[in-house]
Amino acid sequence: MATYYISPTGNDTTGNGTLANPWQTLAKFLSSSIAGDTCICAAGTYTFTNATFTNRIIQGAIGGANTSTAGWTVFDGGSADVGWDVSNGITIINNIWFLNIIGATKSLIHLNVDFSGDLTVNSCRFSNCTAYSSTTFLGLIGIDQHYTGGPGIVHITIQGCIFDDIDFAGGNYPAYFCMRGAPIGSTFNWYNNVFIIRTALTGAPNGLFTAYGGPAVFTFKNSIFRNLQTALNFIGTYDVPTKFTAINCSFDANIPPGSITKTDCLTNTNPLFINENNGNFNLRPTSPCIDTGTIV
Amino acid sequence: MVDQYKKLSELTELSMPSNGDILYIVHNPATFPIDNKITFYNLLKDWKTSVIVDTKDNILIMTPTTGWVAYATDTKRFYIYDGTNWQEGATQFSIQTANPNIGVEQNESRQGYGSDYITDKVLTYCIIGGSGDDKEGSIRVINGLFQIYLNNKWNNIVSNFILREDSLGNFELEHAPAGFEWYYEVFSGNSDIIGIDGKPIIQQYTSSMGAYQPDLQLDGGSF
Repeated sequence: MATYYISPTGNDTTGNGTLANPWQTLAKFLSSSIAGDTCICAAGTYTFTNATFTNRIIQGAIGGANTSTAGWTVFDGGSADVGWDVSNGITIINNIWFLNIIGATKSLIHLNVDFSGDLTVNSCRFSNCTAYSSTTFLGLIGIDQHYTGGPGIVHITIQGCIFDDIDFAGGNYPAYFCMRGAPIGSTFNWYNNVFIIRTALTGAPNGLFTAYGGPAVFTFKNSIFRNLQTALNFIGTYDVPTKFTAINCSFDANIPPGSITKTDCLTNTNPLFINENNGNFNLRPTSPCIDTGTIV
Repeated sequence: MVDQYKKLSELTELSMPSNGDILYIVHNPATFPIDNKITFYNLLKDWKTSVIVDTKDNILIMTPTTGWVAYATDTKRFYIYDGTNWQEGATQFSIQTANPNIGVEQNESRQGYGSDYITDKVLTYCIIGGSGDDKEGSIRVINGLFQIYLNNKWNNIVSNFILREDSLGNFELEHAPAGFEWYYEVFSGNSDIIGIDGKPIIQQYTSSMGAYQPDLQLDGGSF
């Protein structure tokens, strides 16, 4: 397993993927690497383009600013219809800020349940991206293949991420995450995430997560759901009681958790971020969310 | 096929009949009515108590009638014919001599399968199940925990400790508690999962909701 480096100031032609002489693009890393390799992405902005890969670790810069992209590794889609397909393998994505990714026909990250796959997304931010598409059942992060359950078992873990200003206004089944047909044994775990909704869901039906077919269950832990617009949004669509479990999560007044299975959750609660309007999602000292999570 | 009559006292060896041969055992062949002769082969067929003694390979190519028993000299196992296949017994025989053992015990199991013990075995592809037997040394798996009965109570066997090297080359003792997914540094209680701000998501075995964990407040007590 090798480690390679890319930088916005690198060079795909003259570079060799080392720290001292990095490449410039993720595409160069993907074409030059093998399964199990890691790409260390220096802070800065990269163009988010279509890619199909698996069995890679994409590691961004750690410790970026709270309210801006300074110090972050940013993949900017430039409002293009682009996405990553990470089916059939193990993919880990850490510390990346995904910006301006308008997937009219694609999910930002997509898996196909014809194949088994593990996806882990740590400490990333998603902002000004669309959670809908003209194609049904894609979502911001989507897996789909078979309504009744595909053959490929998938394990999705999203932890420590911030989803801010995701556009739900359109398409079919807009959702942060859309799952159609993952077979039994698949897992969807969402830990210590922050979901900030600034636009109403106008695509049909309304649900921040879509689980359509298949026996898989979403498990939320230590996550905050904050709705900054007046229309109600709901956690999930289809089989809500059986498919969604929330443990030590916070729901504000405009996101009624409804009939999902809840344990030790806060409802009708303002999480008291320091400044949610400018993207500072640290908790104020009086926040009811401090020390009320659970260990994972 | 030739009838040969010998007196028992003249018999030096007795061979099993081959195909077509008939071995009669009679009291007086000259006077015994031929119709009343009982073939040894027929006796063997009907008794089903005779034991074939041969190597395993030779036994397995035989196709007798149902109920025939065989003992393989090389595998030291019994076999019984079910009409289609030879069924193999699970246990083997061990050499036993007339000489006594040194010591008290004379009825040991030389295959290691005693009436209340198993010894000298390697268990593979086995599952440890439950147990309500509160005896010193009992083991069980219950509610996702592996337990051993010691000092008059059931104790959880703790696993999943590792030493993880950090970026400075120092090692940290970490543990993944049973039923939990992440590893935690034992002394600090910090998760090895780093959050969006570069700090452990779980700190001192405590988590706040959300992606950012608040700074720890050190309590210096009161003046």
